[in-house]
Amino acid sequence: MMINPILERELKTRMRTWKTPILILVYLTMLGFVVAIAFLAEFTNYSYGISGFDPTVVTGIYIAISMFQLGLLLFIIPVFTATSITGERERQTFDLLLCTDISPWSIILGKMSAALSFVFLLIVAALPFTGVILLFGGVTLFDMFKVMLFYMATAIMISSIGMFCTTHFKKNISSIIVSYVIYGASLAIPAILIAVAAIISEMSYSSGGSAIQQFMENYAYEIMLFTFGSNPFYGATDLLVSGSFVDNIFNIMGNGSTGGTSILGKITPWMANVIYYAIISTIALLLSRRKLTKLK
Amino acid sequence: MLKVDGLYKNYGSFRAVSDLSFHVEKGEVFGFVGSNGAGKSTTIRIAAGLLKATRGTIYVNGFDVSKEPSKAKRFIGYVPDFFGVYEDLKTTEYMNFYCGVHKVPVAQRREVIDNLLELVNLSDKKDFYVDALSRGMKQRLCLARALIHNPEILIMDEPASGLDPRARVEFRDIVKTLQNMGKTIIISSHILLELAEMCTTIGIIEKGVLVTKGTVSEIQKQLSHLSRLKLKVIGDMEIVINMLKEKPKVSDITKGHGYIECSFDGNDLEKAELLKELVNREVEVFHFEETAGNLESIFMHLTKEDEKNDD
Repeated sequence: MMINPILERELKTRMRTWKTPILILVYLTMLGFVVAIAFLAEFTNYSYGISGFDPTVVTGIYIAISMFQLGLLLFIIPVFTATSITGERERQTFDLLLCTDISPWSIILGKMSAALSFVFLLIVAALPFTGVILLFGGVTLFDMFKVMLFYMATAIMISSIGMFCTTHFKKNISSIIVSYVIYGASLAIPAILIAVAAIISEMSYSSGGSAIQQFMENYAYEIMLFTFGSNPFYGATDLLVSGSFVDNIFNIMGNGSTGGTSILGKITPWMANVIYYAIISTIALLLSRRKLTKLK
Repeated sequence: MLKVDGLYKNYGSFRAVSDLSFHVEKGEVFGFVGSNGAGKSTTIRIAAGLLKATRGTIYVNGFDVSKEPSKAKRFIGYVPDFFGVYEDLKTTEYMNFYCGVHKVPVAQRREVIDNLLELVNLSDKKDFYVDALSRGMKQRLCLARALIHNPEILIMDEPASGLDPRARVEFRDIVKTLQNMGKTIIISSHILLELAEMCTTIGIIEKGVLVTKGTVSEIQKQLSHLSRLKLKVIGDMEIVINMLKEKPKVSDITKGHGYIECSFDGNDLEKAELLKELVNREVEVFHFEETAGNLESIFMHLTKEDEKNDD
C-alpha cells in the first residue's frame, strides 16, 4: 500500500530526532505538574481533616487538566502546521515538489496529517494523566473520549489556519506569527463584540429599554453561540461541565431546548464550535489549495 | 521535443523574457547561455511549470505547459540552480521519497534507486545522510532525483556552478552518458566555454532575447572575423587603453594583471596596422598575441552588441 509520501517522510524524519521525545517529555511534564499540584492540594485538605473527601473535587481537577491541555495544544499546533510549506520553501525543496505531478491536495493533506498525527500523539500520550481521574469516579471513559474527539476537531481547525498561512507566506516566522494573530483575533473579536453589545444593552436599559436590549435578552443564547463559536474553550466547557454527549443529542432529538428560543437554540456550544471548525477549515484548505495551484 | 513559442515574461514593469522562440530536438544537448539576469532561469522555470508566461508558451512533447501542466511535467526532469535536498534523510530515503511523489510502484523502487545511484556514481553513499555528502555529490543526487520518473527531457539550471574541477568533469561525463541514453538535455550556464564541451547546440540569450542559436562551430563561423587580442606593454596601461578605445574595431577592453585584452573585429593586416600604430605612438609593446579559444569573446561580443542596440 502506498501512503502519502509527504506524510511518510515527515513521520520518519520527525520521529528520529531528539526534538520529538523532548517535546513530548516537556508536554507531559507540564501536564503532570498540573495534575500533581491539583491532587496535592485536594488531598492535603482531606488528610488534615479540613474537609471530607468530595468526589466532585476530582471532577474539578479533571476540568482544570483538560483546559490546561487545550491551552497547550492551541499554543503548539500552529508551530507545526504554519511551518510545513514555508519550511519547504526555506529549504528550497518546494519547487521540486511542484514540478512533479503530485497534486496540491496530496501536498496539503500530507503536510497537515503529519502535523496532526504528532498532535494526536500528544493527546493520546496525555491520556494516563486524565485517566487517573477514572480511579475516583465522577468522570466516565466515554466523557474522556468525547473530549479527546473534540480536541482532535479543534486541532484540525487550527491546523487548517496554519496551512492557510504557510501556503501564503514565504518565511516560517511570518507564517507562525500570522497564524497566532488570526486565531487570536478569532477569539478576541467575538469577546470584544459581546462586551460592546452588553454595554449598549446596559445603556439602553438605563434609558428605559429598547429593541436592542429586547433582542439581546430574547436571543442571548444564540448570540453566545455565534460569537463564541470560534472559541474552543466554549465547547470544551460545555462538554466538561454541562453534561454528556448523549444528553445533548437527547435534548435536540426531544423537545428540550438547551437554552435558546429559536431553532439555533437547539445547538449546543460544542456543536457550534464544530460547525465553525468545519466552515473555517473548508475555507482555509480551499484557499491553500488555490494558492498552491496558482502560478505567478 | 521542446518548443518555446513567442515567450514573454514580465515581472511588474521589468521584462525578463521578450519574444523568445526556439526549439530543441530529441536527443539534442542544448546549451542555454546568457549572463546573469539574461532570462535563462525564468525560461527554464516556465518550462518546468513553476512560473506562468505573460504571453506565448512552451510545448513539451506537444503539450502546452500552461494548459496541460501535469502532462507536460511527466516528460521533464528538472534540476534547479540550488540543491533542494532534505539533509535529514539518507540518500536512499531521499530517492525513495521522490519515488513516492512520482508514484513509482513500491516493488520497483529498489531497482530504480540502485540504477540511478549507480548512474551518478553514488552507489557507495546509499546509507549516507544527504547532509554528509559533498557539494558535487549533492548535485549528482539532485540529478538522480530528476531522473526517477524516466523523463525524456532533462532541464538543468546552472548545474555546474560552485562545483570544483573534478566534480565538473564527473558531471560532464554523466551528461554524456545521458545523451547516449537518448535523453534531450537543456543546460543553462553563464559560462559559454563550460557548455561548448558538452552541448550539440547553443543558444545565447541576452536581456530576454535570443541573440543567436546554432552548433558551436556555426556560432564560431558566424563571428570568425572577431578575435581576441592580448597585449603586454611597458609603461602606463591606462594610456594604451585610451588609445585602443579610439579604435572603432576594438571593443570589450579588459585590464588584467600586467596585460590588456580586447576584441578586434578585423583581419590580420588590420591587426598588424594596429600594432604598428601603437609602436609609432611610442607605446613599448613587448607582447602582442591573438588568444585561442575565442568563444568567450564571441559571447562578450554578442551580448555587448545587444547592449549597444539597447543604448
